Amino acid sequence: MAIERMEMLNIIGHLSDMNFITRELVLLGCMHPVNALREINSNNFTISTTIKNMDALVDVNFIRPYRANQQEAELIQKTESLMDLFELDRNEVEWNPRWQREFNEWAEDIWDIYGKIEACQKEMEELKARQKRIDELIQYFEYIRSLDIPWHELKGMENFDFRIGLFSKENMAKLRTNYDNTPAIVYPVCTLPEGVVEISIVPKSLVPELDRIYQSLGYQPINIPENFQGTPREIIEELNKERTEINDKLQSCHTSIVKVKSEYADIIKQAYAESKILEKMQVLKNEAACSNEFFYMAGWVPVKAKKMIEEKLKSVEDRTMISYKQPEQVGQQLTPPTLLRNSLLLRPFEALVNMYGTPSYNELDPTSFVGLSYMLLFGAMFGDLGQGFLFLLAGVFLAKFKYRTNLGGVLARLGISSMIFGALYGSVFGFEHIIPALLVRPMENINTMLIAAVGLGVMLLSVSFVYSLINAVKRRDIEEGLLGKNGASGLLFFWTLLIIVLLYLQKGSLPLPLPAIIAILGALLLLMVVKQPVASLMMKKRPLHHQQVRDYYVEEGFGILETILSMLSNTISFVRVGAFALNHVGLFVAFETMSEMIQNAGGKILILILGNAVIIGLEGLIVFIQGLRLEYYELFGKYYNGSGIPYRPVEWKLPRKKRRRASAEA
Amino acid sequence: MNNVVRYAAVNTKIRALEGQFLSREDCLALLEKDSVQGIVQYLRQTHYRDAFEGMDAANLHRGQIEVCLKRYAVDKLVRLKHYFRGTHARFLKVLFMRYEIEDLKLLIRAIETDPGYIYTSNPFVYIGRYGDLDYDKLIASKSFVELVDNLRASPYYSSLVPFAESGKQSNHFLVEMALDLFYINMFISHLELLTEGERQKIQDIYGMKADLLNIQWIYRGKKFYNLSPEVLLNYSINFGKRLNKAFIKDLCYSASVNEIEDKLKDGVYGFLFDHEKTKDIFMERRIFRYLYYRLRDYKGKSSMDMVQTIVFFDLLEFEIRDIITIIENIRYHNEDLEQIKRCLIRGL
Repeated sequence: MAIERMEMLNIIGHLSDMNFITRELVLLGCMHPVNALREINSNNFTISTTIKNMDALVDVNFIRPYRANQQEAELIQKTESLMDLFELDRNEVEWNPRWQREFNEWAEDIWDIYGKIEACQKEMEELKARQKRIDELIQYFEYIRSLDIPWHELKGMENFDFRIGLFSKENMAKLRTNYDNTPAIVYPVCTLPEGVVEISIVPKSLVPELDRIYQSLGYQPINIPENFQGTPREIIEELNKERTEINDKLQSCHTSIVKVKSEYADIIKQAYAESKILEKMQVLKNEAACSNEFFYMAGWVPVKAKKMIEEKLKSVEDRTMISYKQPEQVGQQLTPPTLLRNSLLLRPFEALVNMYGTPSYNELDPTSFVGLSYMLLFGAMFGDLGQGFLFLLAGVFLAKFKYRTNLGGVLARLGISSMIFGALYGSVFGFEHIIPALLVRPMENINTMLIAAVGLGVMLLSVSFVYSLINAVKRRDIEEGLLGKNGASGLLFFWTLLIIVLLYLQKGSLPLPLPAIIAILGALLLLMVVKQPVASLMMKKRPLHHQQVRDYYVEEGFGILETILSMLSNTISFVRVGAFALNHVGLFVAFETMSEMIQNAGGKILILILGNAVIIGLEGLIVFIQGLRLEYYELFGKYYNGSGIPYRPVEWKLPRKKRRRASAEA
Repeated sequence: MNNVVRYAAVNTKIRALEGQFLSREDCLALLEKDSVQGIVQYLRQTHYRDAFEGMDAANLHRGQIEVCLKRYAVDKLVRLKHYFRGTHARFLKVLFMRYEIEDLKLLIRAIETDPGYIYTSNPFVYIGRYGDLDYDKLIASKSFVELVDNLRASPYYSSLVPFAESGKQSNHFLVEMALDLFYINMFISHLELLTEGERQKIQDIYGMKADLLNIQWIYRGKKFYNLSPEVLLNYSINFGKRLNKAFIKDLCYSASVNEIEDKLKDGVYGFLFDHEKTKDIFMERRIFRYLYYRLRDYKGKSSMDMVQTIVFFDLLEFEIRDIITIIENIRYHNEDLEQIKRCLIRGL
């Protein structure tokens, strides 16, 4: 239930070991890379001055960013194109962790296979290009299909030339207005959505003038330089014939490729996995720096992964420098990424937190609070044993069969919470009299429900104050933590006000004289107004105000108003929890009444099922959103910053289907 | 939806934005400045301060200031988008194409003359900041043909494709004309999205603009570039208010510039030829000033419709043009105040 501790891993190694080390790191999948040059420039990358490190020290002077190996990139691309060519499913890759062949070996395989089919592939490309041109030509000749003139006669005119092309509708209209000044016979042959295709016959001596006029009309000429015999209609027939021939040829090429495929598919599948690993290795390498002999790499790794890294890199230990640094030693500009670690019960709620923003490394992970409170809120609003069970089923289905682990997980947990509250409220599929209520029947205790909801809100708000305090302590932020509206003074103000109100309601009189109450609350408010100068005084910092003094006080003065209003509204806002619990019952009562009005038993059941469906779909969604709103707006606003960087290690995994099968076999 | 409900908010917003226009005193104060930096400093005290946020005033180059101002205008206009839904929002989208087209024109010129220019000076006001065009992909284009190919999914493709013949340098004049005409055609064809009343008003105002632009185009094309009547006619805008197609054709086929003048002198647009000496140099300014006052008139008359918004686009552009004119005059050491005033669209 916390944020995983990170350390900065620095590696300096010989360039010859680079492939081995990056491959291991990718397979471990635990390094979130940091640009090594940046790290070196910020002086974090330190090498102790010993004789052993002499070479590395001298070499540092020639440091530069690592340039990706062109050959590797080409290999990755070739493997991809082989996968395409053989129409292999990318989810069906084969990979054996023991199959650790050197890069050159499988590279040679790929080149070999590629060489075998290269000629065939080239032919196919040419055929496809020809096919494309034929399609174009057919399209063009379709435009002028109505023209009953042999093509070669058009082409062979002695004193005239012709143009076929497309005008937009607006421009065709323009051409028409000025037809009397156009030196050509214009004959529209075909209307398309984008304009009009026409053929223009023009005396050869007037071609330049016509072209000039046409150019200013956005004319799109259709160029057919090829020579054909016959009328457009006949040409189209010819072209179609050629098209079928090409299709046959393509088919035979395809057959020969399939033959090669059956022979080499396994190797390609394996090589494809390796090429994917290589691709990931390049991601790491691109962040690395290198000199003539060494490479330098930096990245964040979880502390608990350190041991595995050491184990995997044991074989190169003696000639590689591996060091770790605490985040505090690294410097301000490089913040560690955030990896959340939570118990199985709460893990899916990380998605809800990340949707708002990743917690920063130094912040308290709010997932546990979010998870518990969200379950509580949802259950309280949507308490139903039967409907909750359906949510549980839906959640499990999503998680197991649709691979939506987060959404499914959240849904399943909300379902369980809903079931628990259903038992407390005594509600099954909306029916209130099948099982006894263990705690309370919402509709019969409306006021209790509403007041309890506000009570729950006060509790949750207080917890979020505590979170805010802890975060402020972690940030060493006196201004907000001690004096701010979400800090200690805010909490004190909130509770003082609350206790006074409670006592007043209970006893009917104020616990303290009114001036004393005003003085206490006023003092707390004043503290919030002057938080910045006071904090500066305490920290011995100057200037006291970080902005113009007048502006500061105007802003903070209004801030007070906002504080009071928002405390009130935040608290009252939780009434909705009670209201939705009532609403849930009420909605079903409406459907139940409708079903009673129907005579037919089938109709009754249909209405009840429909009612349940509407409640689950519509109200479930609304309650889901309302709960989220309370979390994000009422609670997160108080204590959560969410400005962290998510931890994204460079890793490679088998496709999901494959992994499942592998684990099943194991 | 009721028009009052639909336009109350946006019209209030526009009023507020118009309140940010420079006052007469502001303009006079700007004219007094003797350095480009002085102008920027003064603008920083007005609502234009947003335009220079994060910029170092001392090192701003004239060109950069222009970009800042134009971006400022686009930023203001883009915000108006949020007030529109449905067909009107679609119409608004067409208005923004103008800025996209201006950026595209810059890019087309840069690709063939100075490919690094866009990278180094980043002069775009719209592309890459708003809209759907992929900035990185476009500026990575190595040739005009490649650029056109990268625009395949955009509405500009069909206008540009006739010029994209590989191995040939594109004729910038033709390409730019094609883009401009495309915009105008889009504008006209999308008027259908507006209500009958709005359409009529737009036809009224922009019909006038089309008339004036047609006259300028034909007059200049004949006088300075000796273009053929067919080309003049093909590039004229078919949206005129007072000058119909036949008259425009007649103008294009006039034997001389004098004949054009004679045909127009006694009409509404005769004012363009009133001053024999300055009719060429001030023709554009006269057109703009005429439109400026007409647009302001119109704004007063129209209330709950989209015309306010459309007119605001032009008024803002005119103001930016004036500021740029003042800066240019300072930069090129024109110290004659009266002469500068005469160059401004707005009468001082």
